[in-house]
Amino acid sequence: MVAKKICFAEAIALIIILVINRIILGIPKSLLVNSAFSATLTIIFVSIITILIILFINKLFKRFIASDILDISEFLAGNLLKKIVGILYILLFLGISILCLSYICDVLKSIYFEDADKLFLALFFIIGIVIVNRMGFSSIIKSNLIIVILTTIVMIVMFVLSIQLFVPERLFPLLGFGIKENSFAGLTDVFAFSGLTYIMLIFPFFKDTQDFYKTNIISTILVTIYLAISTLCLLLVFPNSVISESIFNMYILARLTDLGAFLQNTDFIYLLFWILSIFSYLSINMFFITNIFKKITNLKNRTAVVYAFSLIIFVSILLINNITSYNFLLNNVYKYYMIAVIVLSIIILILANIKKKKNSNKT
Amino acid sequence: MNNFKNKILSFLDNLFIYKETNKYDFFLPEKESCEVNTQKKDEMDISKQTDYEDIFPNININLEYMQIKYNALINSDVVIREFNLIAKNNEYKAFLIYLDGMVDSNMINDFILKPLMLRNSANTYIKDNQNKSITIVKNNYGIKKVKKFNLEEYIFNSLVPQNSIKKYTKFKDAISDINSGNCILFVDTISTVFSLEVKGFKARSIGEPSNEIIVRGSQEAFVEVIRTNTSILRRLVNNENLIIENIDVGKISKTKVAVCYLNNIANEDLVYEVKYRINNLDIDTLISSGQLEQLIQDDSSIFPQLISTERPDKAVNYLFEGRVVVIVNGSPYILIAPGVLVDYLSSPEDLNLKHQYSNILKLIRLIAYFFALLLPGLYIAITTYHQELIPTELLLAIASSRETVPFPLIFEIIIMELSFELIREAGLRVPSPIGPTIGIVGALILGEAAVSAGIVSPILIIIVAITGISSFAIPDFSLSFTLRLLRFVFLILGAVGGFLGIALGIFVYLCFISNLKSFGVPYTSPYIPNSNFTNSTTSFFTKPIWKREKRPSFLNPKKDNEEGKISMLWKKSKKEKE
Repeated sequence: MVAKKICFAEAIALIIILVINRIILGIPKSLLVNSAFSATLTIIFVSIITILIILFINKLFKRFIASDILDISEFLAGNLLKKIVGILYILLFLGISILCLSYICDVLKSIYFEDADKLFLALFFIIGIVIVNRMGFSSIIKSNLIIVILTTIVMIVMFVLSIQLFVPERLFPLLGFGIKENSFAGLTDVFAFSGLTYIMLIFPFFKDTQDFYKTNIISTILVTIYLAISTLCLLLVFPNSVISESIFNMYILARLTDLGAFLQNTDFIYLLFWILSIFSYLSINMFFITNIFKKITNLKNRTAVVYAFSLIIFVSILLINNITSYNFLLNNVYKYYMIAVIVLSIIILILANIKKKKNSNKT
Repeated sequence: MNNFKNKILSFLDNLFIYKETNKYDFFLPEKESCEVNTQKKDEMDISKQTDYEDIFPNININLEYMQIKYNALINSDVVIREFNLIAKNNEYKAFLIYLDGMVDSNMINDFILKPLMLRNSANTYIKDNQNKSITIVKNNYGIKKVKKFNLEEYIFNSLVPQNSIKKYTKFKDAISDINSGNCILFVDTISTVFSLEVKGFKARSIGEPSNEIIVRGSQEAFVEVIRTNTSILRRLVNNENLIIENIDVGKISKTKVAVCYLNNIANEDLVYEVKYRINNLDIDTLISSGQLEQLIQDDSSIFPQLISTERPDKAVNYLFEGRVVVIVNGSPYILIAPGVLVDYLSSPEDLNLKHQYSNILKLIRLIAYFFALLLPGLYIAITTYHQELIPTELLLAIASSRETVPFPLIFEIIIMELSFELIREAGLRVPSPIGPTIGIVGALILGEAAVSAGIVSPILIIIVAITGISSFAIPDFSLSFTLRLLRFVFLILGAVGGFLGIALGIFVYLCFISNLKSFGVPYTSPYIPNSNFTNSTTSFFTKPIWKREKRPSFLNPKKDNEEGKISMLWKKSKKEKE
């Protein structure tokens, strides 16, 4: 057992925690507002495209065993490109962490802590992130696996309990606003599979390099199942108008499910596990932010900068005033920024492969 | 003032400036490398290369073989006594082999060594017609034959005044008898050994376990004397592969510490690591196993990292899994390394009961674990921040019960928790005859009086009582202590941040236990990282006894299988067996 190396299950959990958070934070909603049952079809359509992209990425990584996108950038165009790509990824993870923290604090404030300040709630997350990041990557990854398993069980229970609330008529129109809209407009929904960004960075952490390729495929399939089920549950329980207007659909779904007379309000169980998964997600993001920063600045140790980046996240949540700002930033800025980063990474991978091939031909 | 300033500066330095850490980090090696090591060792190991069956007439070969078989150079309780045996006034080389602690030394001295070594009328007596020749007539020819002196018969019939003595010609029979507490006599020139029954270990009178009580299972406990404890292990393990190495710890006290492991099962790196840590202690005195535990554990956190037990059956079960047992002279509690979280939730009784019963008990213990850790914190979080989660009738009942209480909930609950801890501590310290009185005073009078006086609410008494009972249901004392301490942390987190605070606590708790290691083994094993726990003996839920095929893979033992693929062979039909 080597420190800081992850096994197959831990890597899959690392990708899944992203999608769990996306589900909690409203990805199904953004998929659903434009279409009815076609949202599920869109997910399957997008997931097929994502799997094809993953297969392509796997092939591109075959020449760069145990390297991440930063190493590959350095190989391609030296230190400058490495730093540019590093900064782009840091901004990506910082951005999603700020958005996620701001959103969950707003939601918690509106549900349970009406009198509390948003910063006070954010402080809990920041404390958690700092403590855990000081412990190290291994502890984050292992605890993440526990949290993913527990959260998955809780969500399966929730989906099963919500079956009694299904209204089959809500499946119609089956193809939403038409095949054209679903296929082309739905392409941007590839950002639901934001695990792609982690894939670019996790290769050096694998114990067995073959696990990397398997993880990419299996995790994408699991993410598809996860997204499809959650979208279908929301779709069959709520009318489209409710979905587009409410802010925390999954919580509303959780409130509607009950387990008999005594356990009428089981939503606190779901919420407890969701908060745990957000803790885990933010901590993983912080790890990657500090790890990339360490790589591009040649720092000896990343723990010292954890405080600085935590402070940036903590203060930046003040920039997002409300959930409308969150939705705007997520759907109009972050979504396209993430796609751009992935596309850029793939281009770098292709060019690096060409360079490596040329180099090997020369020798 | 300057001092204060320096302290603050040093605190900030420690917080923000990176310093190279010299943290000692030990990992158990990967399976592959372990297998390679084992293979290499097997090649070097003479005893494995040549497993002799028959006893040799040459005593030197026998002696060498037994020394290798019993690792006599490192095994502290294996005694080999070489001497010259006198028979018919002739001297023969001989040796006795036995396990110290399992035999009666007086019996060996008086009834074996004395008659064999000292010159007396029996061993110096030579009959006049001893070597008398006899003439046999065959085919009209007279053949003169000299009747040979039979040493084996002579020792058996004339020299050893023992009521129970057996003759063996195979090593395996001799070894089996040594393991069960007999003494074996090897004599030069004969290929037979004598097994002499001189058992002298203390059995049932040793004493019952006082803190780890079970219904079904052995009722004996370890004692303060190291040799008695090793003899108990020897008797229960009953195998020559059990190695007991002695190490002296403490410059002044020179306390004897025995490291026990099964040579053919335990991972070598694990054994070396335990010995390395014990050998590298710069201390003056060592009084108990509790002190040694703190000195050799990986991390100084509040979580227990070595299993401590007073039960020999529990220790032996762990030995058979491939763990290492450490015995400290003067302490009735022995240590087992490594310890993982599920071990602390297991009771020795689990293995004696049917798996269905033990799994129900384990489930109850798991619930107790969460109650002991989280119940007061959850109560305060729900009643302070998330009242809508409680059914209305219950909420009204809680509100009405708190009507007369003048304190905030957090203060009320801390008073009750502290009172409970006080009663528990007092109950432990008072002389046993008045122990129940403390319970009555604490539980009935104080509780009842506190409710009547309006200091605490009755529902809170129920919460604290359930929490207290739950912490008693945890089989391991150290883990129970950890939960008692962490309960207060969760209490404060629940009071400050409701579910958010509790979630923060759980998250940090999970990360902390995921980060912990005990002698290179992750604390969350066998689940995270995922080891083979489906057929393993160590997992949270007990498997049926016929399905406990594998030893825990996180220990990387030399032998993976603990039982055959089909352990109940009698169930197979005769045809299948053939």
